[in-house]
Amino acid sequence: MGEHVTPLEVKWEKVLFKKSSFPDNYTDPKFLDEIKRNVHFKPIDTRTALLKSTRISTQISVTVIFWAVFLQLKDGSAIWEVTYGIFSFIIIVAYVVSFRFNNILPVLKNVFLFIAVGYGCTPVLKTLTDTISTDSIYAMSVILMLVHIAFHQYGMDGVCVSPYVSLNAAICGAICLASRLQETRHAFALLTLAVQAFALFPKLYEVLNYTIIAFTILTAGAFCCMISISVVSAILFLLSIFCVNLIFPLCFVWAQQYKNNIYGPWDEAMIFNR
Amino acid sequence: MRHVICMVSDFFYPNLGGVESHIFTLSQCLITLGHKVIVITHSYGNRVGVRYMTNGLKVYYLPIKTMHDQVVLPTLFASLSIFRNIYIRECVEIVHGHSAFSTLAHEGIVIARLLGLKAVFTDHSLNGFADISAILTNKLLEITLSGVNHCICVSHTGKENTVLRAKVPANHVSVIPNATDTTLFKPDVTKKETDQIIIVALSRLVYRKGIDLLASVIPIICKKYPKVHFLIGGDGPKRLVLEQVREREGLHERVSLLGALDQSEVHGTLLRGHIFLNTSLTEAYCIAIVEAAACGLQVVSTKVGGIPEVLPPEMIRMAQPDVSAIVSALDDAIDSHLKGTCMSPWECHQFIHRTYNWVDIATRTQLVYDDVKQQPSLSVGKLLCRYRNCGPVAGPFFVLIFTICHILLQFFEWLYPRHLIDIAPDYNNEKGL
Repeated sequence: MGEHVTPLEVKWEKVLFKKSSFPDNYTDPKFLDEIKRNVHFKPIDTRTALLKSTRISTQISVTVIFWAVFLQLKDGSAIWEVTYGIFSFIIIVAYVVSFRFNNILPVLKNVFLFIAVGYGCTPVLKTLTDTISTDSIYAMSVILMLVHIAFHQYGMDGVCVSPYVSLNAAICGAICLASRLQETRHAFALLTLAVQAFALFPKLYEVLNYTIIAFTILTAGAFCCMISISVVSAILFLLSIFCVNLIFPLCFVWAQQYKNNIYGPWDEAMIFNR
Repeated sequence: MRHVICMVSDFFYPNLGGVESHIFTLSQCLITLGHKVIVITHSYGNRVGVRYMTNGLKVYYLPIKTMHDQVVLPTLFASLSIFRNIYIRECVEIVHGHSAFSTLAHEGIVIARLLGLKAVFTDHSLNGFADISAILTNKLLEITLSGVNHCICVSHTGKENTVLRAKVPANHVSVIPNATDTTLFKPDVTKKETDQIIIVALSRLVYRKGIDLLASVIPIICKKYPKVHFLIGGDGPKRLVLEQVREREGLHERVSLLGALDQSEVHGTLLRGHIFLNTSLTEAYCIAIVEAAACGLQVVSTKVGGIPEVLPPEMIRMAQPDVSAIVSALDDAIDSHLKGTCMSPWECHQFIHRTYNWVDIATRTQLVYDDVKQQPSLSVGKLLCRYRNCGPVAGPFFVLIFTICHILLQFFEWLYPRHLIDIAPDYNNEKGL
């Protein structure tokens, strides 16, 4: 549609109720003037991104330690007692530091209940997955642990964040693995470790917020566990930690320059004071 | 220049709404201007096949089942044959699709372009950019609009929105507002209560129409003004919220929930009111406020979307979409009513009659058709190149789909050549008009 020549004094207005001498497809220089970009956007600096990413790698390390203990138990290696002992010691120290033992009786009661019921029910695990092949159990456990890592809360709310899904997936994976152990004592040890690693540890992490300390200790611990299994797995673990802790955060910081959220009068209004 | 136009949309009579009435009235006006117009929509219940409406407006109700919210399942391939047949039978020159949410409109336009016909698209709504559904809808719209000859929006805000979300060049988009039949919306002061102030709200009772805001405003206004009564027309999931407020505040005598209104009941309901309240959270144009103004009501509305463009400041009080601002605007309107300082109902009516009449809208749409008809035809290759530029993933994917469509159309041309398809007689020529 040909642009009509209009007198200079006639000014285009963004209204429909006035008869206009401009053609219907006329585009004024003020077009898209009301557009706003990245209104609620708070850029994250490199330091913050690197620091926050340690939360993810810490959880990966915890999961790796759990798997390492399972493999040690499965192979009948005595090292599992050391790994288990160190992890339990860290949890107890963290509990003491977080002043949760102000009233020790309810805590001891819960611990006793868990040990009694848990140990009593552990023999059932042996027959629980008899009809399922070991390969299927391993595959299922890997998937469940990945679900646990993916859905974990990491101290924030998001679309794919669900602490319930995360915890259930981890415990379910732990039960699957425990059912493949020969001794009741071993199966029970693995379940208690699962509760410590996937239920207690994240809570303590939030309370204490010792980000760097937890990251250093657990990454080192997980690496040692991996080395004891195989060099290849240790290298793969280090590679994944390197990606999660360095490559991905830096990519994220770099990608922020391309963030382009558009806001304008067409957006659905938000209701505040209802 | 006489055109043969085919309106395509999922939304049409017997369904009632803004898009439906727009298509029907625009078609009627275009027929009056001497053009041939047909409508393609999907079946509604047992309304399947060809039906004739006022002035011989021919409507094809395609035997396609709806998927969700009166929209058909997007298949494209399944519709190819029937669309081709109709376009050839009716000698269609321009296909005019309506509404970004209409699957049928998207399919109709794509098939028309592959057949070498001209295409125009009217976007009646606003859409965001952030959520998943918006991203998918916008990508589909971008694909469709990359092939159309021209686009129409009902407000300048709508144009901005469409240009951004569908990446259409701004000069390919015309702004032609909606209109209303003012003969159906005339003021009548004798119908109004003199001892009460009646606030009317007519809309679908859904979240995006701001029913939560309305529910918060009602008790505050009722407490402030003992003479104020609310008439609320419409139905939807948010009706429960209004019923709860009415129950909790004991406002059964002062808040009437009329339920879903028939088109014929709207005028009568508006005539009973003094103030029209619109609390929409997003709106491209809002025909309801135009109809209310035509009936001489004072209009109070949220300042969202294209609403600030529709009525002049002396005819509307706009408020930010929050409770206190709406209450303040209503205070102002009630005060103006009590003092008698508001614009006279007939002045309002005359203004709407002059500004938003269908003859003007149809004439402006006709200019778009004239321009579109003069544009050179695109070869299928060039058309596919346009689609290819719609993104690194979506582009090639849709090129593949449309290439298959093109091959199927060639197959249909061989199987059922166009010279074997009977040309439908023109209703108006038959009648000797």
